[in-house]
Amino acid sequence: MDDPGPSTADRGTTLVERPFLTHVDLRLDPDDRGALAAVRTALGLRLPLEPNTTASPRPLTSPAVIAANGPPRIEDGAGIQTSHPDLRPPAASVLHAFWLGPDEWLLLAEPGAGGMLVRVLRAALHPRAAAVTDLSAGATVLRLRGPEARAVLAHGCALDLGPAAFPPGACAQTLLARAQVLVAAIDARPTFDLIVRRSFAPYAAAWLRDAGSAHGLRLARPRAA
Amino acid sequence: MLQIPCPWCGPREDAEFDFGGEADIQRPADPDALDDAAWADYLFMRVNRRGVQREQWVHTAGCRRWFVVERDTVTNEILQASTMGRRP
Ligand SMILES: [Zn+2]
Repeated sequence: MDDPGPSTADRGTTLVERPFLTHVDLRLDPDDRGALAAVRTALGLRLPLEPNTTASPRPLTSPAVIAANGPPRIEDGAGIQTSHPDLRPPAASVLHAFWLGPDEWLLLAEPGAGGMLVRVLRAALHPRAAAVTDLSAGATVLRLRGPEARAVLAHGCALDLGPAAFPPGACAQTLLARAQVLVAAIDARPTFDLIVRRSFAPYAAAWLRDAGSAHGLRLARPRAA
Repeated sequence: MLQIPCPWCGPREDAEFDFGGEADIQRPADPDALDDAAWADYLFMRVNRRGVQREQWVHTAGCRRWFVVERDTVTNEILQASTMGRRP
């Protein structure tokens, strides 16, 4: 490659946790066009209907989100303006949607957006048959990135994660070393996000370190939230 | 390794699935009219044919949906997979 390439710190294959993200499970009938339109209006997001795909990440800037995020202050009984943590807009929030099943999606956003997302979606979908559940803290995200990422995953995952079968934007719930994970291809470096239940996360991380030891896998520090 | 084609996710290894026995079992329209033997037959008795049979599988580690597989129990060859309630 002609470009100078990543800095020394970015070279190689790394594993880093993306902790404390907002995880929201959304279920609705995909044949209910009104429900799909309601989500599109509320979040500015088209839910991916194609199995095992994601919607490209979108900034959370729809009018409904802005309305739900503000006013940043609420008035208490004594007329004193207090800020409410649930109403604080998450900084630079980006929404990522993953297909989980024909009537189920996972929404990932920056930490602290769960209350707002649930309120906005429930209001938008009322009174349709739909379920919006804040699953934040139920799972975490492990980000595996670098030239050896596929080789590391191949030690414990039967899926073809090559760029033809699993390009950026693909996702799949599957088994990694017998643990249930949602694997998502983020970019062509390649970068994979592994969404794993918190009770399995220490095991999955330990397994990845072990599998990665033959591939020079380094642990990276989560960026400050 | 047996590969099972989930109607939504495509072919996956069998470790991602669980088996659910005979497919197409209809709940009796009038359960009160059944005697114990007929009710027990509905609840517990399942065919396990030698040859091609329609059976239920669930994609436990994937999309978690139940679906119907037509499988030859002698050769393990899978002839069809379809969503619940829809015959191919
Ligand atoms: Zn499936």
